[in-house]
Amino acid sequence: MMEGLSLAPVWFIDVIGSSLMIVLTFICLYYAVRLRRAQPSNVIWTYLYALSLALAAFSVSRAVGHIAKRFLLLWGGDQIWGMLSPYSGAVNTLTFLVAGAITLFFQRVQRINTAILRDQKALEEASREVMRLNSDLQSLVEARTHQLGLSETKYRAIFEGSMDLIFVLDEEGQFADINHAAIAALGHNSWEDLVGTVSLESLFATRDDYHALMENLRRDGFVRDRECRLKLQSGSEALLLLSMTAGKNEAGEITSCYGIAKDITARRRMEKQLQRADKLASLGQISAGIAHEINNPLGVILGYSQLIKRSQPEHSQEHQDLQTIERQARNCKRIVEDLLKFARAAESKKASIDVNHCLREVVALLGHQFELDKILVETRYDPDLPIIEGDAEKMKQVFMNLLMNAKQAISEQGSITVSTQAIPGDGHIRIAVADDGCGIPQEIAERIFDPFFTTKPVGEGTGLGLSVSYGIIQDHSGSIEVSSREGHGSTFTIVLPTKAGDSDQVTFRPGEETTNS
Amino acid sequence: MGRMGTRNQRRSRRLTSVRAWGLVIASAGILCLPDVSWALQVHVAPEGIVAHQLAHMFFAAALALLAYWLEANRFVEEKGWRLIQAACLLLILWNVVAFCGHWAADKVSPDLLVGERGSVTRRLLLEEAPWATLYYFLSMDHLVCVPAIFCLLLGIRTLYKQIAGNGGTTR
Repeated sequence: MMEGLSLAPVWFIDVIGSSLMIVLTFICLYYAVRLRRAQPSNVIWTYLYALSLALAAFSVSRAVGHIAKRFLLLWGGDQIWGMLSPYSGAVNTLTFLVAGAITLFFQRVQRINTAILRDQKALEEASREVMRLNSDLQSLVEARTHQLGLSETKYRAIFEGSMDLIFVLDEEGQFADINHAAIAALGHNSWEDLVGTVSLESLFATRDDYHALMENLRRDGFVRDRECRLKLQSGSEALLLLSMTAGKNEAGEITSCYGIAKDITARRRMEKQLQRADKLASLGQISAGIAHEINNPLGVILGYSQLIKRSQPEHSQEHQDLQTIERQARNCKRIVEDLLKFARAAESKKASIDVNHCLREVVALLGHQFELDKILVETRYDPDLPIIEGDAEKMKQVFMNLLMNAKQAISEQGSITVSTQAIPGDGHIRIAVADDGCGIPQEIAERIFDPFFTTKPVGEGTGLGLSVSYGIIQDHSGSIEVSSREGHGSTFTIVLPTKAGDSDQVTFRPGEETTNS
Repeated sequence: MGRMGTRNQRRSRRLTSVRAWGLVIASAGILCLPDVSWALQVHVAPEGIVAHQLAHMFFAAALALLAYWLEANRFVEEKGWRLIQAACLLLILWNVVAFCGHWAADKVSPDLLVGERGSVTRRLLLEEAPWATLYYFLSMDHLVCVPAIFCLLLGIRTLYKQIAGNGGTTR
């Protein structure tokens, strides 16, 4: 009887264990293949695949060493096993080495892979950051562009909508940009008429003013509220209140100018009219006072001279002297009466009058004389001119004064145009007396309505004609203006209110003068 | 930077020069001192078992490194990798068992195996105990390696299911 342990358990465990090893390692290989297919770029799954492959090879070679060996020996295949045995052992050894090598190699590869993944992640984050910054930048640019657009719209609206004149000058002093108000104020029609073609200097009435302006700009960098007289496209002049700022380069040279101006021509004219009206009103008060004081002594002088003259022989020296006293006293009385008319202190007999009719009478009266002097009188009467409330005689006196002044302004031959016009919807009429005579010099234009101001030689005029006319028109709640260009003639324009209540409808026929009751 | 680069280049040139001189001297020595030389090294039988045992040690070392690496890199926070780590440890144990089994087999005389060769009825005589007893039990190494491979299978399968469910690791 043999002692010892039965090798049957070893035999069975070998066979069953080796078989299980083959099954399990190939299932491992199956899942490793699936993993690798799921994420081909993942190096860990590649490692598990390689490890599973090595273990599968190991299990097969091991199966040869354990299962085949058992059965070969059992069935007398000793020689075959003798041949297989070294190879089985060698392959078995190789599979350990391969599995170990793969494992060691994997750790190195994994470290590199981790570094690559970390770098990739950092790169992706950097890329995302760049994308985000780019997106932010785009948003920022869009927002700024939008804000810029709004700002441009706002400032363009201010620029274009301004009632003041706004302009930009380039380095050469030419207009680089200009708003609509400035184009209109300068009498032009379009932007292109001025921009790039016209310089500010060429618009100045006097070059000296422009050079003084530029000198100030160069010195101070700005000019504030400077009054400048500019020539308009129509040939007339406009008074502007100009403020300018100079844009300079690093060298301090003016590269551009930004200007804003206000047309104060009308305001200045109004101010002058008010000043003149104020002055004439003061003069009127003084004149009225003086006239009243002189009128009584003159009456006494005239009365006593006439009384004494009756007691003197007709051709005596005393009689002739008293006649001279009487004549001069009457002259004085007439001047006093004129002064009273200027001062609106003379009594008026106002009634509904037709201005056209009054003008016809005056023109008819002076017509013969004008024909002799080769002066053509052209009349343009508005047939639908409303009636006005006024003193017909005084109005005729005004027209007479204006026509005589016009005649005197025409030295040799010329024409006088008399026109009337109803101002639509305004309740006023306009009467104009225009001549093509010598015109009124600018320096005396402000004084023509002053009492005793005359350009005629001493003894030829009292200088009260226009003053009296002014007083009469003022007494009729109207206004009288003169516009004149020296050498081209003058136009006197009278504006009078129509009769209250029926100004638009009632027209007056010649000869139908009615008395105001 | 430039100075450092130049220094490295000089060092590299010096090393190349030393190697070249070493090769020349060694060649001269071989030529000047001739002796019997063998074209091929003879490999005797024990080399096989030694190579196999070294392979077991190498495989065990690689697995130990992997188990440590999985721990150090926190792979084991996931179930799949924990199972793979367990497989590593069991395979290490199997390598130890196999290594010792081979060693014990070398100590046990073939005469102790009685009965028909390859037969299930064969027996191991325990006269050289404890080597014979040790060899007997270590021969059943499948009791360790089969669970190890089973753990590996479960680990890989778990990882695959995680990936397939889109909730898995992206390591």
